[in-house]
Amino acid sequence: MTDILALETGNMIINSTLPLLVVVIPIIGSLIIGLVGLRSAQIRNILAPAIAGITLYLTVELFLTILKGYTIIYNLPPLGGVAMSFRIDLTGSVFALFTALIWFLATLVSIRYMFHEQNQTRYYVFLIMSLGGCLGVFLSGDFLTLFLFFELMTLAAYALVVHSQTGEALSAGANYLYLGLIGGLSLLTGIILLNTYTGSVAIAPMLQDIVPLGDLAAVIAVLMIIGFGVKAGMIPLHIWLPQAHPVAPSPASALLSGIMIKTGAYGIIRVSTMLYTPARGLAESDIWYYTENFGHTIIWIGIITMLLAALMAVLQNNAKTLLAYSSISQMGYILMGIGAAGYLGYDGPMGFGGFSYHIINHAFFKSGMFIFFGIIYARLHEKRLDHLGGLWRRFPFTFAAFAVCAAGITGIPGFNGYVSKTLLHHAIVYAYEHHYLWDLWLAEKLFMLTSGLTVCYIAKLFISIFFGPGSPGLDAKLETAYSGETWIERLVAISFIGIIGFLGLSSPLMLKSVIVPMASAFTYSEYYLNYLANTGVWYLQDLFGIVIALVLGGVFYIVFKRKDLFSFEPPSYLSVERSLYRPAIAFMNISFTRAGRFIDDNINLSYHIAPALLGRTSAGADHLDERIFSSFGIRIVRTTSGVWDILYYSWTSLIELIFSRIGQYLRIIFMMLFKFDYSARGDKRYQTVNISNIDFDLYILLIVIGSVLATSLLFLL
Amino acid sequence: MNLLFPQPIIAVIVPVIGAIIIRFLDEDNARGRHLTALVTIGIVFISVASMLPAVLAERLIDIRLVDFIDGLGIHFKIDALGMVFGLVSSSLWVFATVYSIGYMDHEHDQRNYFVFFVLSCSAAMGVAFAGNLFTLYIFYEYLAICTYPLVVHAGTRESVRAGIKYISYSLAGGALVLLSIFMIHDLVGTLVFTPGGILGAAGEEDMMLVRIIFILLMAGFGTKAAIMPLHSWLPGAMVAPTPVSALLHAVAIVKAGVFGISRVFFSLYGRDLLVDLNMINVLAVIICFTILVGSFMAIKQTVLKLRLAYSTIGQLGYITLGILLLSPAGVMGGLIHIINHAILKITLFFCAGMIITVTGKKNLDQLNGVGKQMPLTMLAFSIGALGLMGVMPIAGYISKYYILTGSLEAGMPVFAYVILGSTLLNAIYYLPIIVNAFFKEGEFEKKPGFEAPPTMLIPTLVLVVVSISAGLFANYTTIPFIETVLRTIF
Repeated sequence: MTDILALETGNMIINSTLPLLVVVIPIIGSLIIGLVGLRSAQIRNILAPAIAGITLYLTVELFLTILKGYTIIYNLPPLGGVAMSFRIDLTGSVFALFTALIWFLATLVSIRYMFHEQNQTRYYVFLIMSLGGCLGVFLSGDFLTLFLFFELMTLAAYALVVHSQTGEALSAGANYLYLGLIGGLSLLTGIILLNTYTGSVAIAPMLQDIVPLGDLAAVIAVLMIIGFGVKAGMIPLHIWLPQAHPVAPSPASALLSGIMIKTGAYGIIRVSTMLYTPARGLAESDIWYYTENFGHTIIWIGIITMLLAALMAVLQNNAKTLLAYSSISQMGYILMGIGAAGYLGYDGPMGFGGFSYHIINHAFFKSGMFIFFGIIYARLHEKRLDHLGGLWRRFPFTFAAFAVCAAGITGIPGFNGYVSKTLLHHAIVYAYEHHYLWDLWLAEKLFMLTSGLTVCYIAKLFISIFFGPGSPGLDAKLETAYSGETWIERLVAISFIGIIGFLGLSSPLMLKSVIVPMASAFTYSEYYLNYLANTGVWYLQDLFGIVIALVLGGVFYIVFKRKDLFSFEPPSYLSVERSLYRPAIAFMNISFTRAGRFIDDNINLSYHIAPALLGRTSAGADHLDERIFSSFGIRIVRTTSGVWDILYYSWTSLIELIFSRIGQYLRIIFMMLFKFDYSARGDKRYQTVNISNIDFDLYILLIVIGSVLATSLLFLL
Repeated sequence: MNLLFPQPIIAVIVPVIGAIIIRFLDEDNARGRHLTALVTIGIVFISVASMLPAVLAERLIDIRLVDFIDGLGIHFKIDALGMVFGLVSSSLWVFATVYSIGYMDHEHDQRNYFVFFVLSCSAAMGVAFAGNLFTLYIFYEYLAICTYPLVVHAGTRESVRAGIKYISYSLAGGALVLLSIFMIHDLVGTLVFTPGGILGAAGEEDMMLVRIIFILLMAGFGTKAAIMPLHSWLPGAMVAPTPVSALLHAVAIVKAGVFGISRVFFSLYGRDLLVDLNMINVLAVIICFTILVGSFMAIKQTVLKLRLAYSTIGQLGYITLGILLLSPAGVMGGLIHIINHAILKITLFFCAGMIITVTGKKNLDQLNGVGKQMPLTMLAFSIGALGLMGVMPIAGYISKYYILTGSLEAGMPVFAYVILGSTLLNAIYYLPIIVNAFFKEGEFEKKPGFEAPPTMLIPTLVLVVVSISAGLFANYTTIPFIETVLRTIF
């Protein structure tokens, strides 16, 4: 496939249209699904997985080509001032691979899940369209292209979030959309600033060009981190996530939480560990300090995110909200890894290994959990944990796969989460040993605490769904609505078990042949890359670390259960949304609209008052003229001559007569000019003003105004 | 008189003749009236379009019709800047005429409506091809007076009140322009539009006077361009029939104001003098205020057409901002936005008009679920709104992109933040309309047959196609066109 499309242009760089195909097939395909869906639901249901499957196949091709050591590039011709380009290294292709794979599985599961839902065609159209956007993010060669696909994904996924069209879904969707747009704009601002001051938006190490910008470098970094952080659910920008992920249909939640959230992480990786690192030629220089500070900040954002979100997850009763908070918490792990990689700078491969492995793992176990919970939800329509229970008999495959996912997320040895959490733990320990800062020591302790909380909330979720008694209504529902798992769902469950087991057990292979080649595209030292490739995870102190987490989790679980703390509701003023965002928005809104209305009113008033003021002035002048000046004049004239007296009286009376008449006429004309007493309906108004028809009047007025203007010009100049 | 190029005179005279013919046709003779209007506007469009090759070849065509006294007279001049306004308004006038035929079908007093509708086209063409400030002023006033009967067409108390507001704002603005005409003529002895400006001839000691003239002109043209303290007529004029408000708010009147401002900038003052004046920054702050406040006011509106009107205020701010950045990219963006905003906003108004004619609903909260009954209309609306927000590949993103780079080029990133911030506000007031129309449940049901009269639906859909292709093929259409304008400025 690649041989046909490819054109080898130099050593190890291939110019190929394959990435374009990978992105365009889902986007065009989604439109075709929409058209087909108007005619036949059956063909549509086959077409949607087929398109996802074709995309998956192409992504595998892409991955295999790049695994041989090639880099694929492709430039589109410029379009209205915006040139798009694709450039895929191993990191991008790995992201694209798991994205396409999970999307394909989720599309398969959707067929049964959506069976009784409304607007199925719309769902499939936007599901496949957002696949195109998401893949585009991972395959982009520059930040501008990345941004465009990022926005396409945001807008397309909106239709998935609000799919149920309930009030709850719409308000969650509004939060999703507005925060997404704020993030997008902030990202765009960063990109534009970057383009203006460095002349390049390529995704490449550029720290040597950015550092001379001074403060602006920090501004760009903050803007871009905010832009991606919204999508990644970074605290305090996460508020949309626990609202939006649960309301979507479960397969879509799986993709939102498992994959689309990763576009944010991917962006932060590209910014913090790529854009803000020096190029390979300058690897020994001292500008690494910038990356280090940057990384240090991100470590703490990550720690806060993972801890707070894990605490919130423990308190949830809605299974999908719990999973959404868990996603935020896991993103905290990833952010911490990214931060550690940045903090360690040139020696950062351990951080890189940790977060990239964890991203892959989290994609699988989190989307798995949403998908498997979706299988249950499609039958029972119950999300509340205290109403669920004892389901393991009814859904054996789902139970097994869910158990494997849970084991993955808690980090039980042998499953995938264990490997990545161990690597992340190594990374934070190395970060501490880098400069022996006390706050990183604390960070390591909080990391362990969060691992304990993770065990606690996953235990709560798992036990309350599959064991213990369910609510009384549940059994009745099971009797009527129960239909067994379909073979597609079983197949999906088995493939998840296989993948998670593979990722957990074959870590040396993964590290050597995938993770380390991924990292080698970044600016890292050879020594530490080799070190990462040979890192093992089956050592006693690593196992001991996970035992601590499990024990902590167990203790938490028992304490929370005994003291009945699981149903504790935190007060609303602690929510960032209520205490910060809403008041800020209200304040801005009110201040601007008040200002606008104030201006409106005052200007209007002055327009209305001006004629009245003119009238007053002329009356005043009239008074002055008639009373004061005339009597003064009369006195003078009387004293001078009697003849003049008579002449004066006749003269003034004449003048008065003429002027009063002229004044009257002028006033009438003036009023007509400004009144424009015209009515298209042609009723009484015509009789009150003594002109018959305004059509002709307007023509006459035009001529009059024109001639008056023309003649007056002649006089004036 | 240049007999080789009679087109501008045709474009100004033919609508007048057309209007007279329509006036003497019978009120019941709808067929003849529509035919006359279409033929008239068609002739105008063809004659304007036929001048395009000459303009692109950068031939300046000057026609002196009448000279009252030295420098004061009716002059026509065809250059690239005038062509931007002329081509945009004449082509969109064609769409609006077709649309009017559908929209006015059941309205009262159609003859009057069409008389003034056709007559205003003549005024707009006069504004576009005016060769000096005096001609521009004459046609500018002519445009205001001709559109007045259209604004008050409904004949209700509310519309008469809005009409009075409209005409008094317009005439007051015009008076300021007239005053500055006298002052300029007194100062430099000519009013002819020249690339590079004529006021540079004024001496150093007259700088204060030149500043005062600048303020007068900005206030004069700014009234029509709805710069913030002078915008109040625009939302009020919403009471007009929808095709008229589409033309008023998207094409002819507000764009005449913006066009006047760009004439003042590039044909009267010139770039260097404007930099010397030191007044650009003050104006820019006012414009930023306009953009933000206009957008915030738009969020508060509950009537669809009012929301569109306030959005126009913000969008006009972009155009003015782009022009006054005085950097090539900024001016490019501003001028392209004249075209893009015209196409997109007229689409939005056409959609609003169709919703009003078909369902009779004006308020936004009544429009939940309207996408079920009128899917094509709402699709067109969505594309127009997304285009104005700046979503690729619909036309609007190009102009926004250029204004953004322009403001950075000019070393004023503050304006870039303002534009990006207001883009967010655009999203906040447009997206709920789309979302509610498609995702909320309402009382609308799908009906058989056309969702709206074809004479209204077809122009709207054609405009949608135009707006997308203007975005996709901007490199071959709008951008080279505006580059011709830029060559005369920089």
